[in-house]
Order: sequence, then C-alpha cells, then structure tokens
Amino acid sequence: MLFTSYRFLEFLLVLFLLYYILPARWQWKVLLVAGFVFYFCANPIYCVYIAVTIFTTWYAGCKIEALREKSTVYLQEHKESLSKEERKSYKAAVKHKTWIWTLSCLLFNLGILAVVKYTNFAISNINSVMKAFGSVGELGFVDIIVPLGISFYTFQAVGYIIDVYRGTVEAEKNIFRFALFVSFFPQLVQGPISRFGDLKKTLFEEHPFDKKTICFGLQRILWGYFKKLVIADRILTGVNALIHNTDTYTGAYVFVGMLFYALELYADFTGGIDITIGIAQTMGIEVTENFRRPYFSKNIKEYWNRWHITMGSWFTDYIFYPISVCKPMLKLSKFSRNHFGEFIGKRVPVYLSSFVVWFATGIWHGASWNFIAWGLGNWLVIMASQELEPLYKKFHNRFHVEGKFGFRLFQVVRTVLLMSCLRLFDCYRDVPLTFRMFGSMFTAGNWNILWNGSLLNIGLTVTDYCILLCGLVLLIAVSLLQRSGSVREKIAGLPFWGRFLLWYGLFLTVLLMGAYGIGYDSSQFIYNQF
Amino acid sequence: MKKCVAVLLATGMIMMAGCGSSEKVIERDTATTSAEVSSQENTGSASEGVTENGSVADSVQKGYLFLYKDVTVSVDANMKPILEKLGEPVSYFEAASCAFEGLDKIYTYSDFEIDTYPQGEEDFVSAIILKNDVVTTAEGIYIGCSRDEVTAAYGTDYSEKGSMVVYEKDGMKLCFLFDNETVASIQYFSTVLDE
Amino acid sequence: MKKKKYFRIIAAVLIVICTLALLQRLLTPKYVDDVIEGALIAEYYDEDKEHDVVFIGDCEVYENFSPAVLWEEYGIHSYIRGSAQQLIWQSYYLLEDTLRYETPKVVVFNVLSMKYNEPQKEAYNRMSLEGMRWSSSKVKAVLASMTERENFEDYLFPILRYHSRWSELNSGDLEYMFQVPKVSHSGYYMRVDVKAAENIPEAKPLADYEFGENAYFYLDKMVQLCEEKGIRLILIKAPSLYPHWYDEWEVQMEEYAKEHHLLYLNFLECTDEIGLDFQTDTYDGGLHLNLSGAEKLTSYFGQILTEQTDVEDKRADEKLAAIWEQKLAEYEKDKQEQYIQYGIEK
Repeated sequence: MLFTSYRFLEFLLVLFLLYYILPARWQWKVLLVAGFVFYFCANPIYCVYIAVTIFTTWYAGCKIEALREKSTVYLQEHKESLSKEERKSYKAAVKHKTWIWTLSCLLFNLGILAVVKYTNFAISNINSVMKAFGSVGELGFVDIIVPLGISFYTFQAVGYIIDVYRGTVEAEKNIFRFALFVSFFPQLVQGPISRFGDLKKTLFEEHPFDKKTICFGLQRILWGYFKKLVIADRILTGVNALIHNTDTYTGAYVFVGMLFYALELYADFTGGIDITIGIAQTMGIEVTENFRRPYFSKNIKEYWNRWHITMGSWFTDYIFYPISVCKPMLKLSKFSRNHFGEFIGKRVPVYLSSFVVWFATGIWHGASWNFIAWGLGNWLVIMASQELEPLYKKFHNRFHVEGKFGFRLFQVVRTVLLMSCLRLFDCYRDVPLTFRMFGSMFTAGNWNILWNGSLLNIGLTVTDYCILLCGLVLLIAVSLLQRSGSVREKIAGLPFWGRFLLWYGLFLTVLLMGAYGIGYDSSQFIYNQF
Repeated sequence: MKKCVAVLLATGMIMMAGCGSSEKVIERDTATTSAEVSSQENTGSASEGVTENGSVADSVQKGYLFLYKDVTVSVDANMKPILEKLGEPVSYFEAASCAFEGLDKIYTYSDFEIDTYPQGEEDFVSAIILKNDVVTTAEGIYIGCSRDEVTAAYGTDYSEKGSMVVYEKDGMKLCFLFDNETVASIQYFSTVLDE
Repeated sequence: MKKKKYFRIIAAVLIVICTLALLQRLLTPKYVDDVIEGALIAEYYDEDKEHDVVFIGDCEVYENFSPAVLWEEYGIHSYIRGSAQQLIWQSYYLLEDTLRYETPKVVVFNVLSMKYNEPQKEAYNRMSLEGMRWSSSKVKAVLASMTERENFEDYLFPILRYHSRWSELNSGDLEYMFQVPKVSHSGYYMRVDVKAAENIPEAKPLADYEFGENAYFYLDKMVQLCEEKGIRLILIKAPSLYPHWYDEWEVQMEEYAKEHHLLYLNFLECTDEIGLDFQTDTYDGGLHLNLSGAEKLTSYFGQILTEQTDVEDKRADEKLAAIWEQKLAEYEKDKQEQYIQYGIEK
C-alpha cells in the first residue's frame, strides 16, 4: 500500500473511523493491528522479519531491566555487608551482563539488516576483487527479500535497546506496546526514526476526538499530498529522462537535472513526512519533526541539522558519541597528541568518528558505492568547512557582510548547490560516471539549452513547467511564512470563507494537477495507445 | 471549532479522492521515447534504496533480430529506414483500430511479413513473421527445423503456450510454433502494446 | 449564531459537491466530435425501450447492422448495444443491464470477442463501461474488465481518471457538458465512404485455437440468462474480413450452437447471397462495412429474423411508427450530409 494509492486512503478512512468509534482504551491496539495489516498487505513475509526484531529487542530490553532491578535490590539488601570495592565490582559485573544483552541484540538485528540489504553488494565486490586477481569464477547473487522500511524500524529498535542500556528510558514490559512502537505504520516506510522516549508520550494515551488536532492533521496530510503529487511526481518525468540518458544529457543538462532532483527529493521526502506526521496527528499522536526548512540553511552543517533530522541525531547519539568516547579512541587521541602535537591530536578523533558516521550514513541509504561516495563527500565538505572556519571569520570581519541579506542569500544558494552536487552520486549509475557527468558541466558548453526549448523534450510540457513554477513559489512562500510560526495556525485565524477558499483550493489543486493515475493526460490514452 | 469546518470539508474529501499508483511509466508518446523510464519506487526512495538505473532502450535494435540480406529488422524499430532498404512490399494492408486514430500497417514480402504500429507521426515494427524456409532467424533457425535445433540455438529458458515456444529478450518475444516437433511458424513480437 | 454556523456548513458542502460534479462533467470526454464510439453505450438510456431485437457485441455489430433497415423493410424494432472491442463479459453485463429495462424477443451476439479471454485495454474498457448507468451489472462489468493498472475508484469517480484533461479542453467540452447530441442511429454508426478491401494479409498461425475458459463461462451465462427470460439468442459472425476468423474457431462455434440448440450464422460464408462486394461495401478495407454493405447485410438478416423467429412486423403500431419516422428522417439527413462530406454522388 503506497501512500499515494486509493487502497491506502481507504485503509486510513476505515482505521480513522475505528480509532474514534471504538472505546478509547483500544486505540493503541487498533493501531498495532493496523500496522501489521499494512505490513501484511505489502508482503506477508515482512511480518516475520519485523516480529523477530520486535521480540528480540523487547526480550533483551526486559532482561536488561530485570538485571538492573535485581542489582538494585541486591545492593539495597546488602548495603551494609558489601565493601565499596565489592559494590563496584558487582556493579561492573551487572553492567557487563547488560552490555552482553545489548550487544547480542544489536548484532542480531543489525546482522539481519546487513544480510538482507548488503549481501548482494558484498558479493558483487568480492566478485570484482576476484576478477582483479584473475579468477574466472563468480559468486552468484542471492535472492533475498528486503522488508519494507527495514532500515527505519531496525534503527528504532536499536536506538531503543541502547537507550535502555544507558538507562535513559525504561524498558517496555508489554510486548504489544513495544510492538506498536516498532511497527507504527505511518513511519514504517520512510521515517522519521522515532525514539521510544518521545513517541511513548502520546502513542499509548487515550485520545478523545479533538476537532482542532484532527483538522490540523488533515491539513498537513493535504499539504503532503500537494508536495508529493503536484511537484515531486510531476518533475519525476524530467528527472528520470535527464539522469537515465547519460549520453544525451550532459553539460548544462546535468546542472538542470541536479536542481530538478533537489526539488523532487525535497518535495517527495518532506511530502511523505508531512503525510506521516499528519496521519499521526489526526490520531492525536505526536511524531518528531524530520525537517526544518533545510534549503534555507547557510552551511552544510546547519543543513544536516535541518534535513532528515531524526536520522542525523540518531547517528550522532548512537554512533558518533560512543565512538568518540570509546577507550581505543581516547587512547588514539592521546597517542596522536603526544606524537603529532595539539593541532593534529585534537582533530584525529573528530575526523575519525565523523568519518565512520558518514560512511555509515552513506551505506545506510543504499547498498552501493555511490552512496558511500556520497556520504564521504559530505564528510569531506563538512571537515573542510570546519577547517576553513577561521578564514571565513576573517573574511566576514573584513567585509562586514555577516547578517546582510545578500550575503545570507548567497550562503543559502551556495549550500543548496553544494548539496545538489553531492547528490549527483544518488542519480547516476556508478561513481566514475558521476564524476564524468559532473565534469561535463564545465566542459560541454551547451548552456543554450536553458532557453532554446530543449527542456521541452524531456517529457515536461509548458504546462508542467508552469505548474512546477507555481508549486515552487508556493513552497517557498509557505516556508518563509513558517519562520514566524505555524502556517496552519495563521490560516485558522482567517474568516470562514477565507479558510474554505484556501483549503478547498489546495484540495482542488491536488485533485486536478496531481500527477497520478494512468498516464499523465487522458488525451494520450484516447488517441495514442495504438 | 468553527475554524475547522471548511478544512474538514475540503480535506475530508481526500478520503475519496485519490492518487494513482506510483508506477509512472511514461506513456509512449511523450517526448522521451528513447528512454524506457522506470520510476523509483516512491515510498522511501528519497531516503532509502538504490536509485534504480533505467537502461536506455536502443530504439534501433533490441532483443532477437531478423536479418534479411543486409537489412536488420528488430521489433520496435522505426519502419521508415527498413522500408527504404527492403523496397516495396508485395502486398500492403492498413488496419484501422476501432475507435482510434492511426493505422496498424502490414507489409507482406515474399518470404516474410512485417507489421507496424503508429507512434506519433511514425510507424514502428510490432511483429515480424517468417513465412517460409527461405529465410532464417539471425541465429539460423528456419521453418522446418527440429525442436532440438531450436533449443540448441536459443537454450532452454523459454515458456510454453500450447504448441508454441516463447523466448523473451529485452522486452520482446520470439515465438516458435511447432507442428509434430518441427518448426511450423516463426514470429517476432513487440510487447510495447501489451497492457 | 449557531444558525449562521449551520448555514455556512451547508453552503460549503453544497459548493463542494456542485463544483466537483461540474468539474467531473467538464473533464469527462464527451465523444461527440471525435471517437464517437465512446458515446454509444450511454445513448441507449434515452430510447423508447420496447425493442424486439437487441444486438450486443463489438464493432462488428454497430458498424455492420442498421436498425433503420430492419424497421423500414420488416417492421422490426431493434437496437444495437455495441461498443469498440466489447469483451464478452461486457456484452453479458450489458445484456443484464438491458434486461433491467426491457425483455426483447431476440438477442443477437457477435462471437468475435470469444477470442479474448482476459481484460485487454483500458481505453476500450472506458468506452464500453463509462456509458453504463450504475447498477450491480455495471459494478460486475467493471470488476471483470479492469486491467492490472486500473482502479475501481476511477470508474466510480471519473474525475480521478480524467483529472488532468483540463489542459486540453476544447469548446466541445463546454458545449456538450450537459447535453450530448445523438451520434448513432439506434446504436448504428453510419459511414458512407468507400475503401476497397485489398491485400488482406494471411492469417498468422496461433499457439492455441481453443477459446478461453473465461470466454466460454460468459457465453454459457448469456445462454442461461436468455433461457431464463425466454429470449431467443442468436449467435452471429459478421462478414468482416479482418481480423481473421479461423476455421478452428468456426468449428467450436458451430459445435457450441448445436449443443445448445442455438441459431448460429456465419455471414462470412454467405457474402454472395447477401450480395456483398468488398470493392464497394466497406469503408476501411474489409474491417467494417459501410452504409451500403450494412444495409445489404441487414436486409438479409431481417429476412432470417422474420422467417425463423417470432418477431412481428410492428409498422402498424402508431407510437413506434412515429418514433421511427423521426429516426428515419435523421438517418436520411446524416446519410446526405456524409455523401456531401465524402464527395459521393447519389
């Protein structure tokens, strides 16, 4: 069930009715069943995968909690009889045990993720290596089903178990409640990656029928569909044409494709998240925001704090920090400080930790060298900009540009362009091709395609461009408005007919201008199918 | 409370309104005919999964080919240059589709027949039918060959439909019809028109 | 205050319903100026419904038979519920639909569609199904006809299917928004132009000549339904030269008819008796008959209907005579206009 299918909307409608008609104490149970129905519809096998992850994580969590409780009781009881040393060693032993549980849970679940997602990638790399060494034999690829959204729910589960280990959240004793946390369907396929501590606040509560929340939720869903159907799916035609015909579309086309892809990705991803958060909101559940107007960022670091926020913070909390403060890293830091001096010594751990994070971020996005290259590209840019920071400062002080509108605009455009360039790895077949295409922008010299009508040959008509332009203007306008608070709140303050006009207008726009259904235009279907 | 009335009305209708499937294969007639544009599965694609790399379909030659003298004929190829090389057919027939503009055209030569479908202003090969044993497939199979000769030339990766053996390659079909274990008919088909 | 609130809500609901209904009407193709085949199915509902003979089937019925001739020569009151590439389950459900309004004495079904066992093309589905009024028959017809990429919702709310047609609306869409003019003559699509049948290509050998199970299933249902309602079912194969009608198919149909005691007429076998000349009686090289061909065929078939079934000559019926007087006038007018359009002197 795709978010953009009739089936999904009908599913939502039925769910919504059940959710509010049945007694409120059943609400979270309804959601749990809905999650599994949703997953079952995609593929019954998926349910097995997610059930295994749910059970193992829940069980490990309970075990850790039990060990800890037992140790508290034990220490309480033997307060007097134990020496300080003994208490310390007892605590360490318990901690070790909980660590074993955590580690096994992590290895097991990340292992599943690695096997289903990366086996074929590994095989293809092994084959390349073998070929390089002159071997004629090849390993065959295996046919593994990759469960929908496995990266997302595995990360939620893994985050949970680490939180339990760290003691930042209490383990959930009720397996069904925990199952709902992992399988909460709106965020199952594309995030956000929620933390148990955040989501549980509203997930299991009873939610009375609250008109305002429900309206706001529905409005958010509508806005999400606008982004997805009117913008992302419409520009998709052009993007596909540009990035798949690498012989024809070089030079300036790469530049155009890069910008189109930036728009498509933004509209697609944030639209999907709007739908997710909107659905949750109609049921009174608060899901963490995943975006904060990322294209208004002034540098890459800020961009990553505002784009796919839950993923970024996940990597920071569960990979960057642990690596930075782990014993080997501290040792390395000490070693390099002693041998290479303060300047390098300070940088080694940061560079290394963030290298790991960006490598992981890259490969998490997809099993290919393209994504790894993309992740490391981000790492390079971020490190470089950190190093250049003093230089920027000097420049800012010298020319007094900081805070000026023109300069801020320059920074925003620069960040968007930089991110778009990096994203080329996401577009093209392999890494060398990506470099070739990128290079062609500077050599091809076919910039006249921007105005000579060539862009009408990539599957987008003048009408499409008009719709996209209007859509883009609306996106920007809404983002600008958002800076001073919720746009929905602002609209809610308008008189009745004003609100009606706005929301019904948006609805009609999605209905009429959305790129959905068979073919993009029906005249084609009438005249040209033969 | 009042505030939400309009909103409820408008957005409530999303329930019945909808959004089609995500499979967005560009219709044949949009400008990008050369690319078999495949869509990214949209859910989560933005953030997860390898971007699918669509292959650029070669509009000239695809799948199994038919060679006649020095002319190569492939399904879905533009008929115009082929017609120029082959010359006037022995017989020519136009079939109008019920209720649609455009004509399916059938060019019959002495040893084979070529059918076309219209796309925009031009015609493209929808089928090639060999009519006698004077002509062979590019792999050397002709009417009268045995089943073993066919499997020797094309392998065993085929599907069977009645007495017909179908080999699929690059979105086209090569069909051998058997009569008493010998090839009775050889037909190349495009799958572009299949819905 | 409260009163005002309710008033606003009702007003808003009305506005929404009305605009959506209007938009749907505007965006749905009207099939008047072009592809008029799409308008055929809907026209039936405006008819006076006491037909003695109803034809169902694909283009081989609506382009090859002329009810006007049946009336003029034999006094038979007939109608054609044909549509382009009408699949057999569509024919069956159209028959069911027709029987909601009337019970004819004779139903004539053209058997070419036996060759299709699965849903084919969305475009044709639309033309055959969209014009049907909603009933359980339509629901079943849609469900039986949908190709994999179609959705039932698109039939329920056609605006979902045609939502992006706004970019190519023309004056016709406005003109025919509420009232669509008649495009057929009791379901007959008239063409007077001539294109001789030449070079009919050889038939391609098929993998399997056996009609599909699904096709037989609906043919059985059709036979059963007609039996239940006391309707005489006649199977025909129209004399179209292309697509090819295989001998193997013919054998199956003959056997089927014999087994079920049905009259089966293959007009391909009696083109000489009918007097068809494929140099002058077809407008598209042998696929469909033109007016001259259709009139010859209808005249021949009318004789059979009169002799072998109990349909009566109703020319004495004043009400029907009045209806047909008007229909014949329109028929004649269309004929003359087409003669001028195609530059044919008569």
